[in-house]
Amino acid sequence: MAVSTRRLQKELADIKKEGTPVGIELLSADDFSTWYLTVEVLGETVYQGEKFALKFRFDGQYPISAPAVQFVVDGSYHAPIHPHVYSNGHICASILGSEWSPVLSVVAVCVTIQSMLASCKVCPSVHPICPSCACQCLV
Amino acid sequence: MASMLDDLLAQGITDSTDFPDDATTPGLRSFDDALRCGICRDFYDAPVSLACGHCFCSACIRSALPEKAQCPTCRKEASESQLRRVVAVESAVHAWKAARDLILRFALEEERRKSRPVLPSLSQTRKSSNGNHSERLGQKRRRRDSPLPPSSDDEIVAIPSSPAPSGSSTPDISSLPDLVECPVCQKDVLSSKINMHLDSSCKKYLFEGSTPTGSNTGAESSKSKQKQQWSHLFPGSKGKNVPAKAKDRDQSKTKTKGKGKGKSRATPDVDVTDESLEHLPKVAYDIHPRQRISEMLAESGLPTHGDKNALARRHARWLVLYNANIDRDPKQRHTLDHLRQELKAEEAEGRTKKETVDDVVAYQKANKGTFAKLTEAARPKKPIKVKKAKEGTPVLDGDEVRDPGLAEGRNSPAGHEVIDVDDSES
Ligand SMILES: [Zn+2]
Ligand SMILES: [Zn+2]
Ligand SMILES: [Zn+2]
Repeated sequence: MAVSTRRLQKELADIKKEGTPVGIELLSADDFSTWYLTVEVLGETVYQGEKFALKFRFDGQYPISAPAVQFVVDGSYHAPIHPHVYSNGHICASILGSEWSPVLSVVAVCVTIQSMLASCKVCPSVHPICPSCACQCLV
Repeated sequence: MASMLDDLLAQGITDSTDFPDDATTPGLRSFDDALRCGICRDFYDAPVSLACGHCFCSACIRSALPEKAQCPTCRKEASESQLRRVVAVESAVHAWKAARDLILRFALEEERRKSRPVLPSLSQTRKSSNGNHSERLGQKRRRRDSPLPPSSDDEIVAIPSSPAPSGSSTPDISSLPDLVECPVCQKDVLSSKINMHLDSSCKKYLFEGSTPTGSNTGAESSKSKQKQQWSHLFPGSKGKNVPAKAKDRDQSKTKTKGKGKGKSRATPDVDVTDESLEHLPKVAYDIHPRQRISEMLAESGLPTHGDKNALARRHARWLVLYNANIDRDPKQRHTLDHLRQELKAEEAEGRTKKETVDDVVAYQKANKGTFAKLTEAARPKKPIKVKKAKEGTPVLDGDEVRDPGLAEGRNSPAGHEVIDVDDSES
């Protein structure tokens, strides 16, 4: 079994035993290459009442290499409007690129993205699109 | 993808959360966790430490450092030259593995003794590890089932270390009754009966057809089967320590692929238990022609098929496995043949897992209009303040003032996790 599979299995077992942090739920983990989780931002934010889905894709190098993570954009889900999120669901987050560390986990990524959204207190329409997104997409 | 999950049935996967929380049995869960590598989350295998003091499996950190020359836990600068064996931790792991089953049984007995009904709460305090987790086993099971749709493979994960039915590699999961593996005796028990089973000191309410032996038996027998299947691939193999990674479904692939090309040249095998064995130096593959790398592989008894990149990858991986093996207690080292098999199994699995090209870019292009409009709409009235990256830190992609969640990634909850690991290891 690949290291990635073994690691993901532990994460899955952990999620099932211990649950996930508030606002984060496992939607599906049918294999060890693609998982879906949902993220809700708690408290008073511009995303109140919204639920977003994150798609995680893992290659055999996980957790040495970061998972590919993006928001699901389909009939049921859309991407949050946020300076670091493209409308197609692409997320511009250092933790998924240069700042990835192999001791991080799926849940840790969800929590970071959740707090990234939570920190967005202003109406998204006045938010600038992150200037570095245009030239340096890391996911 | 049942086949992947089938594999898991054969694996004895253990986790710190097998133990009750620290309030119930102080220190046990933390102790189990402290002996695990933050990268693979398994018990340390050939533990080595970096200059910062953080410890990882040798193979894990040797895989991680080429990607990023820093400690995965604290992000301090790191290099392979810093690596030192941590013999004491290796011994501790060895002893703990031997003691674990018994201690776990005591711990679960203690948990039952202390247990009283507690509302299952969706662990707000999950990461702070002192969560409210003193429910009885039955409640635990129920709760883990809840967040998932019925299509997911709940039952499978509910019996994470169940012995594999040794004959077949693909049991029909869907037809399995709602079984859980007793954490104490490792036998299969209907989930509805698990508490009664535990109360009977594991004597009653066993699921019929359950293998009457310990959790490793399944793995053992599948190992011996692998032994036979691998033996003709690796003529020199004594079949010792056949890697559990080599799953049946990979074997069939490996077998055909390996024919003719992958057979190991019978290199005179080094005595791996020799204490004076040294690490192999890294190779700058760029400056060598394919032919030279091919020779290096041949010298190590490794297959030489593939383009230059494939050869370089294979050799680099070989160095990781070889050098990590040197970091093991000489008596615990694996044979070189075992390492070759491990490499081969990894490659076989890697081939089956190749991902298709990311569709994000194409999507972006297709939606360029929309995106441009959104960008336009989102253009600021206030000037954008772009924060200079902090000295020494890599520029955060999108490190922008108004997003503390990201810009101060280390203080974010994810950062907390890093600190958690820190704590548990110190
Ligand atoms: Zn490890
Ligand atoms: Zn460190
Ligand atoms: Zn950005």
